[in-house]
Amino acid sequence: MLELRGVAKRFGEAQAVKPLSLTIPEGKTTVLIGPSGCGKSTLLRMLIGLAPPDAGDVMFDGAPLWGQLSEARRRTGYVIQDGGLFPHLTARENICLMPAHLGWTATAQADRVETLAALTRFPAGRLDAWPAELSGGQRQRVAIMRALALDPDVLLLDEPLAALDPLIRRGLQDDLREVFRGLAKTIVLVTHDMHEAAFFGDRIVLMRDGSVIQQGVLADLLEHPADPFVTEFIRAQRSELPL
Amino acid sequence: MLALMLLAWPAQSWAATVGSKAFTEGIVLGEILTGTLNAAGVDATHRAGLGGTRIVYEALKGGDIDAYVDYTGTISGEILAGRRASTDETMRAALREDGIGVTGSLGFENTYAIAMRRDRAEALGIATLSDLRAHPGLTLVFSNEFLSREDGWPLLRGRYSLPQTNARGMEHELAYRAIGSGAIDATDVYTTDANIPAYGLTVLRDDLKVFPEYQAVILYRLDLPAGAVGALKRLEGRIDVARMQAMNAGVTLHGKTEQAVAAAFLQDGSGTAPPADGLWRRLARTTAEHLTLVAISLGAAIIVAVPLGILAFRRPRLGQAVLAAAGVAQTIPSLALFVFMIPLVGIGGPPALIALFLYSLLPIIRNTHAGLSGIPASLRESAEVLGLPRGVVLRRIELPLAARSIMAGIKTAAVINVGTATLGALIGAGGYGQPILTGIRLADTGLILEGAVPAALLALVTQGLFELAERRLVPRGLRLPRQAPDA
Repeated sequence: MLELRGVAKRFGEAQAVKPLSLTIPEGKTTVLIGPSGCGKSTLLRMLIGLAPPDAGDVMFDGAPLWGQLSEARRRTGYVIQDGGLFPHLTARENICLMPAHLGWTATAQADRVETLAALTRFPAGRLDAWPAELSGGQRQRVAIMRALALDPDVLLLDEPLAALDPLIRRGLQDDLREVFRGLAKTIVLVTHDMHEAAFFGDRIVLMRDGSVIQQGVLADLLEHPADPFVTEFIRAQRSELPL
Repeated sequence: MLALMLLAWPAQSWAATVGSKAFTEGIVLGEILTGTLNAAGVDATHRAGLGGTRIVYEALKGGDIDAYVDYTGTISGEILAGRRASTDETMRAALREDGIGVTGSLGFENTYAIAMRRDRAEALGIATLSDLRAHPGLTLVFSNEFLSREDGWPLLRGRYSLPQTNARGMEHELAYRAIGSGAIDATDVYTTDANIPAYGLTVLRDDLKVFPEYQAVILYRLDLPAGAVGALKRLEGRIDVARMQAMNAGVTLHGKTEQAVAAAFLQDGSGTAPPADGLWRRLARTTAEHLTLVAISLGAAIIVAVPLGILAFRRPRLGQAVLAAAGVAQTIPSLALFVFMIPLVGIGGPPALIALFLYSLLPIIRNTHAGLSGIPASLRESAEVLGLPRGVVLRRIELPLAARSIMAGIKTAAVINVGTATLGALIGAGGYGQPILTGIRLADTGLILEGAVPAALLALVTQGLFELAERRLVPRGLRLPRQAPDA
């Protein structure tokens, strides 16, 4: 579904992503993790065309992303840290932006919103509230609903839980894993939190300084570290691991 | 867009139009010309108090007015400056090139003179202009026109070798008040001026005979019907200097209207002047004129400036040029803008509309640009990755998010527009500026307030209306206080 071929990205002096290739397995959840500035967010932004690579190709469904950008974007949902909800539209209007633009009937839109609200456990009575009237956790659920509105093949999430406080975060984490498991979509999630990576990731990609250090399931990283940094990074957050 | 604005200005069927410069004598004579034409069966209206010589002469040349009274010294020294028109024949020939004819003198001369308060002049022993040489420290304030025109202060200063270098310009009626109160020592006056005795002034003798002759004559378009020209020519030699002084005094000192004074003159001879309007009628008229100016120019500015603001945001380099151009337009003094435009669009509503339109652009363009630029990157990217076309993103997301800023820009433009529209009276566009200008000219506080108070009220009402509109147009979601707590 998604593949990076020899991509690299430089912002002025800083080499954000060194030339690398990466295949994202279809129907699985891949977590990009690493310390701040390791290039994980840039990699995610390449996948949706927000950060065009200086070199190499981003492949979407077997063809270069650039030739099919709007089509690929409609088949991809994207969620950012603070939700990115439009404050002048209600929760429902935010979710239905694309469906309405594509000419869905009012009934079809209402059905879709109802399904998504049940899926993300969002209170149906709050669907017509403005973003400013919602709590942080509710806003994030609306953002996920908006990303899923067109039932995309791919879901990209950039630190979706980082701005929430721990209790809310825990609740949303559980619900989100249910959503991921139920949908079986190709999912890429960026985090700096090892606990979250272990919780969500079928596959973990550990990055540092614009390079991929190791990729695999959590057990691989624990038992066969490719670099002392892998063990170091995991140990630093060990106390939070659900082991 | 400009063409649309011009079309929106009501057209009128043909009638002769008499013009006048913005001073009492000019307006009284304008009324007399109008009444004379009407009495001769020529349908004529008067566009009173159009501004300075440049504006009125350009209006005559362009056909916006058909006749007005000017003075021979002004014609040779200013209108025809640099065209060798010192004698009567050469002056007539030069005017003919412009399609303009000239009558003989109306019977009086209104020449420039310098006046001082009598007590001050006597204390310093000043009786002639040459005497000024001995007093370099005097404060001289002149009307802006006298200060800059070739036959005014520059000529006087050169011929008499006057040492004063601190001469400043001021609105003429204000200068009278200043000299009356002793704030300044000398100013320019007209010899037919009723203010000379009123403020206790004495005229300094022009001992070197520097000022040229200023015989009052009628300038008229050569394409005027012969009957109209004949009627105007019958005014030659009819008004002597004492008569003119008396008529000026009637207006400036005895509170009569120019129409009433002119009507009294015409009844002695022939013709009648229309009756003057009452306060409420005048107020209704100036309000209608003012609202028309503001509504059309502001409406056009919104239609043009919002897209320009979007363009400036989408194409930053072009945007800098657009903002710079709108900024430059803002710095052009309104009077200068009016003078530039008279040859292009004439006098009255059109040049005022264009000036107000130009002045309204900058706040709207700038606020549209600022509102769009101020949208957080996270929202911009969220809109981009949805896969919506750019036009839909603009309409559904960017413009609503920028609505508050755009509305603020329009509100600023509207309030500035209401204030600036008072200057439209300088070129005959009417509005609340009309009573203000007349009030300043006649030192009549009541008249000034008749324009200033409604203008201030209109500014407040405009502000209030736009605040209501803002409540309707700015989406409710943007007006809620951000509530962060997790529930």
